[in-house]
Amino acid sequence: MKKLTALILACLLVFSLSACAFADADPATFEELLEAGKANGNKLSVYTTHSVTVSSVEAFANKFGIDIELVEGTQIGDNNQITQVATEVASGISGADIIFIQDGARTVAELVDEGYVYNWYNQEILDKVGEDCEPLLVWDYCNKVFIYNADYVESGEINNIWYATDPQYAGTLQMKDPEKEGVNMNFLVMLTSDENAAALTEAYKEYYGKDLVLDPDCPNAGYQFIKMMYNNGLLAGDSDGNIAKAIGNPAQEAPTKWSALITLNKYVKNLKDSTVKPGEKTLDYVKEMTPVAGFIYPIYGLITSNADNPELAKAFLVWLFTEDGWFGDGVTTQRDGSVFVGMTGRFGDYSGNQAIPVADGDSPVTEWKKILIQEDPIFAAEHRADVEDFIKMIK
Amino acid sequence: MNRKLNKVKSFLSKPYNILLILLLIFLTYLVVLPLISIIRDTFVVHASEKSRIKQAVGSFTLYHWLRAFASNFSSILIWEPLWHSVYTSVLACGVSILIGGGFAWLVARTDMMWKKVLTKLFIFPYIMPSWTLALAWRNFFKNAVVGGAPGIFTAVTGIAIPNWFAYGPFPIIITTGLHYAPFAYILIGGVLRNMDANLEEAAIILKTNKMRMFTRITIPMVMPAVMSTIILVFSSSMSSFAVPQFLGLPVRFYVLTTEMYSTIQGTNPGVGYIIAILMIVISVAIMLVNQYMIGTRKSYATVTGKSANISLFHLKGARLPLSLLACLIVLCISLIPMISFILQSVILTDGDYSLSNMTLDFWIGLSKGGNDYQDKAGILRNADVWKTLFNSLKLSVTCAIGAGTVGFLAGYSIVRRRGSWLSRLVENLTFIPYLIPSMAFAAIYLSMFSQQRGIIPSLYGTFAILALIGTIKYLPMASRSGVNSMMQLSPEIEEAGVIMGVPWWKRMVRIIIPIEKTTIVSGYLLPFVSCMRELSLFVILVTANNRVLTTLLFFYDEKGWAQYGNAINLLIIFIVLLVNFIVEKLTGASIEKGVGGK
Repeated sequence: MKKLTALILACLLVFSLSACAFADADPATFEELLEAGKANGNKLSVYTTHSVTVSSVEAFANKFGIDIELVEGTQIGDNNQITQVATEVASGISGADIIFIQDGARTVAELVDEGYVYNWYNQEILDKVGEDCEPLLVWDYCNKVFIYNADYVESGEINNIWYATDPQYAGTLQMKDPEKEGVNMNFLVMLTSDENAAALTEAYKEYYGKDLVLDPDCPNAGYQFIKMMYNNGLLAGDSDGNIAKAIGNPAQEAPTKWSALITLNKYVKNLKDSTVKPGEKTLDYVKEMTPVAGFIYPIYGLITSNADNPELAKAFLVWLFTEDGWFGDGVTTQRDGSVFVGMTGRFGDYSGNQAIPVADGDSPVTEWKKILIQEDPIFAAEHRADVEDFIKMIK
Repeated sequence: MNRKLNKVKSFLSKPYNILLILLLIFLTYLVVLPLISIIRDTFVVHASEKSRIKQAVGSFTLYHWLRAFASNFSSILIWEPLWHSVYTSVLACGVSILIGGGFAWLVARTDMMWKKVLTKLFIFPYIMPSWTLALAWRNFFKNAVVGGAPGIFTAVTGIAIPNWFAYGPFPIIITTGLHYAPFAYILIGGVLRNMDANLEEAAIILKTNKMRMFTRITIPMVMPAVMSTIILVFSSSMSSFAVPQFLGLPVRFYVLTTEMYSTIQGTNPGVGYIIAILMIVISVAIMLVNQYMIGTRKSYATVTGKSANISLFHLKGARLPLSLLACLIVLCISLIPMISFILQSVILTDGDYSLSNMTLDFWIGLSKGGNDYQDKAGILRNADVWKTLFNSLKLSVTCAIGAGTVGFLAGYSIVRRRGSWLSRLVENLTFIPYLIPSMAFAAIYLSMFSQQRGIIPSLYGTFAILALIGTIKYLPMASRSGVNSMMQLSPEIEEAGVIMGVPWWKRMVRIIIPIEKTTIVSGYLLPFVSCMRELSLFVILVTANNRVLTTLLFFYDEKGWAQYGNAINLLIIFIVLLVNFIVEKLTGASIEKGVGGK
């Protein structure tokens, strides 16, 4: 009986807590928002770090017959987007109505805290997305995992993250420069959390067979790992696409145990790419690794506080969480006349709406979250500067 | 009182006085105020620095200065990049003078073969964007340090390229030096062509040997031109951004400009603004050195400009080998880079140069509806590219009209009021933008115009801010040529018009402008061409809706869409060459004339 009461109490507590946390859901429905947005008539401008959203905006306008002066999606990287949105909203310039942005740390500190953008969702989104509505609404999860050149690296050979510091892999690991792409920096920041540092300490012992001794400048195992990885010749590349092409390129001569921490999406793309022919150099990715096999980061969908057409922006956001908004309906076209296919067949992109299926052969996001580090925007925002400075010093 | 009023009246009755006053206001607002604004920016907390400084945005802080000059980070943030900038620039001067000066000597003073064609091609790099050679270098010598396919050189010869050769200071020095070699050629060549042959003839009569003639006559004679070249090349390479960005970053070799870009884009713009100020200080110092040297140099009429017949040095047996060598160098800096861009813009897979791997998709392919780069429409069919191209042209024309017109009027009024404090002040103000490195200038405008100030709204993200900064930045080119040409024009010609009662605007249109036609056209052409190939001035000011071709190239390059990047680069070069060609045919003015060549 006691147990039952406790259980009921616990259930009630959880329920009321979640009810509290998500009490903000806007009661407006998609139809209402769409009507209001059309009536508003103003432009719909979207800034996004993800190329697919650019096409989604066009498809959205075509599908719902939105006939206003400007419907546009513009792809902008996160650094530029933060500067641009902050400046535009602060000085009242008409810019984006809605943004899709990664790099949670900077987004929280520079856009959300400053009131330039706000988190919004309605009941329809809440029903589909659940707890990922807060603190910032996750539109899409992307993952970056360790991908290697399977001609030179045995399957299962890379199974502990400390390999990145091992002299036998010196100069063979690539990732997009963390100073250029915030999510990579946030991953390194996350490694320095107490929990992850403890896991790293254990993993070190497993890999090297001895206890980890920290250098005086390294507060914990996370820092120690970052330092040793950089000193082992980490190659900070300019784009994941280039890195994927580079490590799997058939034209390279010397056998090198290339590996890279890049988006799963780029790995798959490279497999399809004509560069990798059957029987030639191929890529594969690490599925099991101690303590983590990479990281997963969200792309958030947020409304700007000076949006000209917030209703339409919100309607667009609601639509993105439907299957049509994610995959297209096979009929609706983009501006150039081609049929909008959205995320169809894309590895490495997972809707915030977990009911939407993932690409054939890919794992659902819940599986990925078990083996990957997830970005915590609040923690990352607090410790970002420390890790950036640390990296500046050790390079 | 009346006398004073009369004085003011008579002062204002002269159009050039009104012009000077207007220019003073205009330049104070667009040149002086921004300088003050950037100093302010080194003392406040910016949004991206909140988590670092833990103070409210906009509040006062000494964090940036302390971090830049009194912390463990000083050497990484300031001293190391500064040292890299200085030594690569110094050595780039050496390369320029060696190659450009050597070529000038071969052309002006020897019987080298194929002079006509070679000189045309040698000027090429100067007309092209500054990163052209750097991109070509990367296309050729990319090595395995970043993995992937090696560059064209290794693909063809099988010889592996060592790291130091592919990236870092060495290629930066070589490509920068070669890019500015035309400066050396134009400046030194001008002296060599026009120097008084009597001096050398006298030496020959006195049976001086050739070595001695060279060291005692030729070298001292060209020394002033060499010094000008050094100043020009040194300050240009100190402020160059694209080359170290393309060739330095893969091995984490930072110079001042690239460090500034990364701090301004990153989480500590305050330090970036300090670097900007540091760069301005350096370039002012260079200018002072230059003025000091010009001031102390005794002026003898050694370059008479009327050398009857310069004796050509007979290369004899060395004629063919030297001609071939010159030919090779010229090809390396002109046509071969173009070939590499063409190749890189048509291959599907990196490093495979077989015909089966080539496609024109990146030029004319239709959109395939996907989102990866192979799925996009080729650049000639891509609406974004056309929009950007149009924006580039619009911007270049606006800046050319702005800078050209203001520069010409400034030249006119400065010369007419020569000697007065007002004229001197305006002349100095028009020159300041020249001293501010492009990227530092952009940083200033970013800080100044990203918020509303008085009646001026925030200009961030607008076409106006690009047009303004372009106009101001290229003003020195136009006003210099305006001043120089007006100096040669005797005021009597205009005075004749005044006596006849011809109004001012008619005097300008009917007398001054027709006489100065060529220089005026150059005054428009130079800003146009510079603007068309400008990257560092715009890269931190453009927003996604306002891209120009050069920043689109940079965007594609950062994304790793090499084929599009190379294709866009060719497009830029094509437009610049085309405009140069048309203007040259129509008016006889050309870029070479603009920089003092013949």
